[in-house]
Amino acid sequence: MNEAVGKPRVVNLGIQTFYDALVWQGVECVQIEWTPPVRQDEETEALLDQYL
Amino acid sequence: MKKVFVVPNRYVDSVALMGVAEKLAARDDVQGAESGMGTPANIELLESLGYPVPAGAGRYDLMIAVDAMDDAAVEAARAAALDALDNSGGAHRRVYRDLKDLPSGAFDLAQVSLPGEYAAAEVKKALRLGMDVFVFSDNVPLGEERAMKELGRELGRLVMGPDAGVGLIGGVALAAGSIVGPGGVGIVAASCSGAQEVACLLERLGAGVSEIIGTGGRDLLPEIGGITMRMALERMNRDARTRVICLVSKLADAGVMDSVLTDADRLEKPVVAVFLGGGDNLFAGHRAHGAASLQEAAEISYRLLTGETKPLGWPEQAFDTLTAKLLARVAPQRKAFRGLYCGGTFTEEALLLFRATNPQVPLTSNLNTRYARRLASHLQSEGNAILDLGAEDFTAEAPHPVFDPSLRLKRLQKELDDPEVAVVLLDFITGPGVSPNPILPFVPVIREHPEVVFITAICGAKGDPQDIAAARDALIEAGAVVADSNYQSARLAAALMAGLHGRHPHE
Repeated sequence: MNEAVGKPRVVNLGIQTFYDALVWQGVECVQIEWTPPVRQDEETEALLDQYL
Repeated sequence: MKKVFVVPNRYVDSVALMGVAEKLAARDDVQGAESGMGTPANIELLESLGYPVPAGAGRYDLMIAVDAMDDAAVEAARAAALDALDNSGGAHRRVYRDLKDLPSGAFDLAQVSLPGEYAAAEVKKALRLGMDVFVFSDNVPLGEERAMKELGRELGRLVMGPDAGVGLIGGVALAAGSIVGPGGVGIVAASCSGAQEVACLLERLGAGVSEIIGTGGRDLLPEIGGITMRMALERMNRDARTRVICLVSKLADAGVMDSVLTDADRLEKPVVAVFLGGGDNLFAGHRAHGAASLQEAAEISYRLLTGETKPLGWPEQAFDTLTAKLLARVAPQRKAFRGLYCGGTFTEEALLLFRATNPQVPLTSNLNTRYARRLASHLQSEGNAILDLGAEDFTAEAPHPVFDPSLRLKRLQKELDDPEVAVVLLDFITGPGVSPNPILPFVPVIREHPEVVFITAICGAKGDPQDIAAARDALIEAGAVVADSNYQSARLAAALMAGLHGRHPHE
């Protein structure tokens, strides 16, 4: 929490309009330039999911 | 000439893509433009429009299709598209590639609106990095929703959603929410437009909200058991700014609603609850104050907060006078009502009220609901129709009407071509994350049709970037009625339909 202004600091993943809306509100925020994951077998995905 | 560019492994959301296609189509040297991810459906669509899609384009690849005069124009359009995609957010834009790259502890909240199949992995990552998570994404498998909420509970982090449309945390409006001013009511909601309506009505009454926590529409299913709603209740009970808690939902699983109300019984703070479509018996034996409509939930919350009673809407006599005046404007051959909604909960509230007050009047809808007969096709209204233009049958073909009013404008025109249409209802939703201009495009259409009664309601806050006071004035100036709340707009429409049905009782 940004104590000075009492606003949460926000990470946006996905719709860019929502990121722009945060910027418009003066929120400390970043956009994750998300890319689809490389396809992996289910076992590897479950392991990664567990440890990442 | 038509050409398709493929940008491999680049995800862009549909709202941003729509903006890019519009920008390209507005260029003088471009005849047409489309953009989309390389899904089989999008590839088929482009090919049906005569675009040659390069072999190998897949669902993880971005496609930009341009129909322009020559090579130079096509290349210029491609460059403009990529520039527009790279420069959203202007000079403030700060970009990371992955949640794991963020400085530790630098962020409090992750807002996730990725396609449903990818959301869960990122949500779990954010929870483990110590963030609360707001999940706008829909189509997240129910088992995944349960898993992410259980992980959140274990880590003491809140998972708002999936399919949460609005939120307000620390004064920051999330997703499609409004910037409602601060105050003593905390709202926990399994319904997006429902939460937004209660919050905006509280602002209109002179109060404000501490937080809006959206739980997602499935939180009160037995499979989820209200995990988020129950955590949010605890959080608001501890929160010093929150003095009254308001729960908002459509009717949900009886056992889960009861367990949530049992949790609420143990809190020190007063709780108001609206479960649209539920009867008073839901609240028997519980301390929570039950409300039958969103408006009533706001009015009770305001009374508990301030000790004052301040009703919204028209007093009885003014309502009857207005109804008679509007009915007198309707020509004898006009008899049909068309409600063109973009808010899901607003549609539900209207269906409920219409059925309760006008059981004798036939009603149709694109929704599968017990309150109306389902239309053969969502593309064609019949008789009196209440449509949810934010439902999947519409959004599968066009962006949700809160993000882009064009679908609803087109549909409105189609309804107005029907010589039987007497009354049209439109709800409007504002906020920093929705269409920058959701109301004014309708004003000239309303002005051009004085033969039709337009009833409207604006769900928005003074702090929203769209100037709702000016929009309200413009609607009134064009001849529309602007109701205080969704409930009031539906109430007026229902009274008009009762009157018109009296003229044609055998139809």
